[in-house]
Amino acid sequence: MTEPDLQTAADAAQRVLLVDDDPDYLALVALWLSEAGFVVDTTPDAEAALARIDIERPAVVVSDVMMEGYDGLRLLSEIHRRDPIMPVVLLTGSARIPDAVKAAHLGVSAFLTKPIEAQALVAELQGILRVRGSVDARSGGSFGAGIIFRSAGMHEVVERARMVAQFDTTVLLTGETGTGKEVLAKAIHEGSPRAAGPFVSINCGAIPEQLLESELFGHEKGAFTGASARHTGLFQAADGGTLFLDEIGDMPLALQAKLLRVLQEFEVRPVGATRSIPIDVRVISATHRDLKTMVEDEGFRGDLYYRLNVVPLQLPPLRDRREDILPLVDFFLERLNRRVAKQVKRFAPDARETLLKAGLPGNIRQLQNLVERCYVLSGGDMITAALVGEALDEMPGDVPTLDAAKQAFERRYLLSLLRTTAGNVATAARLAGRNRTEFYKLLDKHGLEPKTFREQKA
Amino acid sequence: MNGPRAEGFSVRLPAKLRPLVPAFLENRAKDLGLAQDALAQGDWDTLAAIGHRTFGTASSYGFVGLRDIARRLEHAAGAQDRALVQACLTAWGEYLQQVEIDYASPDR
Ligand SMILES: Nc1ncnc2c1ncn2[C@@H]1O[C@H](COP(=O)(O)OP(=O)(O)OP(=O)(O)O)[C@@H](O)[C@H]1O
Repeated sequence: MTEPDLQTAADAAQRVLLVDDDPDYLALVALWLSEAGFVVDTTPDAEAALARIDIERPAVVVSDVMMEGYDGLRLLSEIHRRDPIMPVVLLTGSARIPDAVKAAHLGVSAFLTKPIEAQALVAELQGILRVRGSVDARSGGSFGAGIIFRSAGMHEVVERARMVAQFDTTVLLTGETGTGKEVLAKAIHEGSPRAAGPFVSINCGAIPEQLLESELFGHEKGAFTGASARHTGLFQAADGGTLFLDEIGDMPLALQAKLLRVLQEFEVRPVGATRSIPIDVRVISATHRDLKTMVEDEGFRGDLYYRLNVVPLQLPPLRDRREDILPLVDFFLERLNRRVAKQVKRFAPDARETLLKAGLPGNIRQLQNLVERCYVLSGGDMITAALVGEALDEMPGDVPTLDAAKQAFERRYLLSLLRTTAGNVATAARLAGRNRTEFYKLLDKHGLEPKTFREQKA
Repeated sequence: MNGPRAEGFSVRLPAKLRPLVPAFLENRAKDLGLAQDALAQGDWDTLAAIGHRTFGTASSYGFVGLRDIARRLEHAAGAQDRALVQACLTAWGEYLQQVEIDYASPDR
């Protein structure tokens, strides 16, 4: 709470994005809201607002209806196309019934007529956030306290996880490597009535088949060559708690059949044992594979799939939730700062910008490594953009997804165009076969400034 | 009758508004210029829009006199009443010159 830079969902809950093309009104309302304790972000136009929302997700958007070019109603529908549950409050100078009706259809949270009193607006927002807050329910060490996010996508996943945590439901977590499947599994365990029991985790892909079987179910002394002592399996070790089966897609078919039996009968029979032992375990499994396709291709048992996939939760890759990047970076950095107490380091503002704009892969573990690398390599208290750039360049290349590869190619392509044309956008756009507007959009997307290429030439 | 008179030259505003007020007044002076241009061109829509917008902003800030002038301007422009619009703009100018602001103490 006291670390100002540690951005968790708790402070995101109070972030308001204000949109109005009247600067005086914008300034005034910003003042009201910040006095009332909100974190206020302002922008004079709707398109800039959308760009902001993509980067830092506010808890609520307050927008004027009548704006030059891109009005508040269009902004409302555009926001809800991206995030159907983001609350939007519209302020209008003249209460026109058709607008109000349209806004209601578009899911406006409140449609208020100017002039509006400061207190009325504040009360309205507090009301909206309170309703929202009961969904959030993330304050003070509640569910998923260690899961850092700000994106709508994660919000939804975490919320569903919170709801299933209370029951013994079998959960299947899917998502690319390093998207936080284990973190979420642990959160579910900790948010469940089994929290006092053990959380036991095993990576089914990392262990040879025979060993995996005895790891999971245990074995009697002498059950096979090398079984010199009795071994308690992980199912038993997790009794009263949760067993997390990571990389379940890598489990050999023969073992899948045995696992299915355990899940149906709630008892295990250790290798070489004659009797089964009843167990009370909740199973959460995870995979980065597409199990459904594996079932079709007969690489995974259909009956086991349906048994495991009672509640599916899919974790979005980081590149699809860029607004989580900076909160995660702050979180990892803060952790390092706390560990190395005598040296508190910060990312320079343009270094943060670089991180935000880098074509980061989907993998949070890589982001964490990157932060650690920057931390270790930076000489001073300030981690510079140049250092971040270096660390990014040296990031180990997992096979990128096609999308990530396309993005990376596009960026390199634009860079070389800008270099050859010395930042002349008209020429660069022509060479790329794009019109200037489109070309500027591309540059914007990659955070490239033609100006900088001009200066380099001079 | 309903003639535009700049009333309420003195306003009492919360102290926290102090940093915002200079820009606010400057922008209203710019608006006045825009309104005069619009009148010269008989652009009633722009005049009405300026009146409408200023009505909203001025009331929110607490500039009651200006708010009233702005409302009359909006109506006069709607009625395309050149003389009344001109009178409103004169009143607007006077208001900006004569307004006296008294800031309430910060902790009330
Ligand atoms: N939302 C998050 N907030 C904080 N830390 C996170 C978050 N997501 C992931 N991490 C961190 O990133 C790393 C990878 O997460 P995790 O091990 O849960 O991913 P995974 O999907 O299980 O990966 P794998 O498939 O490789 O097992 C961990 O160190 C974890 O602490």
